[in-house]
Amino acid sequence: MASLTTTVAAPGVYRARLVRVTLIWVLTALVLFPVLAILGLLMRTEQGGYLQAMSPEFFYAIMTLHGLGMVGLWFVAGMAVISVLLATYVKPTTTVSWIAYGATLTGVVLLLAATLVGRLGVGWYFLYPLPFHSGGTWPGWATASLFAALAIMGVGWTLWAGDLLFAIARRYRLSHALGWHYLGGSTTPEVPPIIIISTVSLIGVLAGLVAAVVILVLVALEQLGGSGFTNDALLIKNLTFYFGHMVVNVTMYLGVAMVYEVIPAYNGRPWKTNTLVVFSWNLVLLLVMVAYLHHLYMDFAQPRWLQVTGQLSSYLISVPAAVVTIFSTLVLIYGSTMRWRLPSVMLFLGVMGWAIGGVAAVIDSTVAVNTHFHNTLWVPAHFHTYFVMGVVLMILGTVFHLVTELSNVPESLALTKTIIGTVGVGGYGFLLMFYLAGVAGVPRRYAVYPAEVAVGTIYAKISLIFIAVLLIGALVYIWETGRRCLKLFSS
Amino acid sequence: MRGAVALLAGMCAITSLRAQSVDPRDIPPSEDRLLNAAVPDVPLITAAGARVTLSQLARGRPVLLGFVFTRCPGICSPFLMSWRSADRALGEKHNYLRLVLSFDPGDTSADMSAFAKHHSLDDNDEWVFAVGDPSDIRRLAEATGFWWTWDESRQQFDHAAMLAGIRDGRLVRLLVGGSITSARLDELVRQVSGEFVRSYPLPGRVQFRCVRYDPATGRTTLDWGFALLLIPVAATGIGTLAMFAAGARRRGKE
Repeated sequence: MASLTTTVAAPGVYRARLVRVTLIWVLTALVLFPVLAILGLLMRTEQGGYLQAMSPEFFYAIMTLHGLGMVGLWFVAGMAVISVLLATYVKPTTTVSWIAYGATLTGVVLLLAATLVGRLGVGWYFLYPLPFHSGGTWPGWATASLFAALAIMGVGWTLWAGDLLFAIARRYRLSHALGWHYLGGSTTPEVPPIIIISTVSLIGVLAGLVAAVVILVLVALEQLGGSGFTNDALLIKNLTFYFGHMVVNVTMYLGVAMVYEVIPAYNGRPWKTNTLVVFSWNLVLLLVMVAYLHHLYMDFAQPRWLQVTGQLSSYLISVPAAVVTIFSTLVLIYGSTMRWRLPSVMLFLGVMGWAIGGVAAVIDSTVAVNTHFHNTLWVPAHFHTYFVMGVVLMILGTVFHLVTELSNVPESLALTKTIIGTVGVGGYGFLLMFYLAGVAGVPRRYAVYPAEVAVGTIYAKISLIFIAVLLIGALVYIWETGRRCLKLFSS
Repeated sequence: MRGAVALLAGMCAITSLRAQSVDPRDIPPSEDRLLNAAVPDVPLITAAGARVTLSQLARGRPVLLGFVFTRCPGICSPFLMSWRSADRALGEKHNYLRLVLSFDPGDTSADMSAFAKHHSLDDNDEWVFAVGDPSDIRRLAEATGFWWTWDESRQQFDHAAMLAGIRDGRLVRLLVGGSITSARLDELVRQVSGEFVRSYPLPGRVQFRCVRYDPATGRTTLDWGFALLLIPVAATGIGTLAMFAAGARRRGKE
């Protein structure tokens, strides 16, 4: 179990290497985060009617970069942080983390070229066959650049996830890593929750990455095979959301694993594995393989039983992962002498944000509701809730916990209050505008709102104030965390 | 890094070369590859001799565009009669422009007038027969996927038979083939008028279909491509077992 003095409980040289590569990942994330957030601000500014000079084509290009960038950024940030936390129990390879870093940077450069130079506007889900049918909006090289970026990052991330899973495998049997012995009544060997959740997450992400490989192979066959080979758009959509939904969900699970590991350091109560935790996360492993089906409710050719499976699995998956974690968090905190510092507050708010976003997601995963909400701003509302106010807070809270402990720079309570206040008010205000617009039927993915949904412009304008407040909080956090990282580097 | 650049260059080359290496006569016009492409607003000369642009002719209405040449001994007349017959079967419930355009540089507006009269469509305002500058016709053809070549041995054009549905200057849907049924025409017109019309690729050209959809009954059944969705689970399951087996061997040695 982590404590304030055993944050990175790994020996000498290996510990130094691990901390160094983690700091590089963290600093990169701290640079990319505000840049990608400003792209979001630009999008809402255009929707608010203030950026008439920005063409819709550029709107879709930055929407693609913002979406792909944020999904990828928080996934790699989650992986980097979980690597260092796992090092208390197992020994991941730092070299593989560096390889993943190089692959990610290469992918980022290719994505920047594809979107900002090539104006690729396919959205973060790059749904086939849209990348190949630009209607003259973007050139062929931009599409090639997108798929090259995905291939390069995919290789790096697969190696990384495989290395972390193999590190667990070197210490635990599979049955122990998944905690099955707890279901049989045995508590030895004692397996911390972070091992179980990480094992589930890493198996999940590997499955998602295999789906991405299948997509790349099918696309390559079509491009190489001439007119003799045409892909089934429905099959590719299934595979794309299998991959995309998995990466997003696994990012959240990595954040939850951090909550299990770090919260006890602030209230002194150990968070031990029990039957309920094991049962819940094993059920998650099964359900996450099919929950993506709720992304295909609008596809009339998808068989009805698959749509029903999508709805049921989406309902069920919220119980073991979210409800158990939220309930356990409250039980762990209730009546304890909790030290409310920036990391513990961010982790707690992250769990609550996950709960709120999860409820909105469950509502949207109901077929009858989805028919009305699917293409409205309700969708970005719920996924921004469990991302911005959920997993991002979990990751940032854990990062601050790590760098504060390692650098011995004391926390400023005044700045903590500033960060929590601005992020809380700015974040939920910004999200509320999405929710209200969604309920009003304002469509998503519109650069400019036509007269029929002009109310969307008003919500976009109001959201600009909240985004500005949120950005102030984020910048104060980045300053506080960044200077700790730099101090660690200089030492 | 060099590998990544080579991969990118290779994919770019494949993407661009692929379109050049296939003889267009070997494949029917592919709607998938043309969808939402901008259709140029070219100047035309109608059979009545009026000089107008495509958008002026459309006056905001959807357009169904068919290509013919007046000396065609083959598909042009059956194609036009089939279109006319299907159109009449639909009655007057749709408001759209029927534009018949000659791709033969030798055709004149007088030729098109005679062609319209021959098919009893000369006194119908909804039907417009026209010619245009060869370069403009070529641009229209490229935007809609229509192709033609001169067959020296037979002294006539070899060409496609198809209708292109256009709305607001964008290609919405293609209807390929010389025989036009009223049901297919109705679908085309409804879609080009802004209505959502369900469609799913026909069997034969698509590999690894995950379902088969029957538009007549609305029923779907699983197809072999669905098995590809099981690859991620199967591959990851095998990989995980192998990884933990290797981990156990490592523990044994230590």
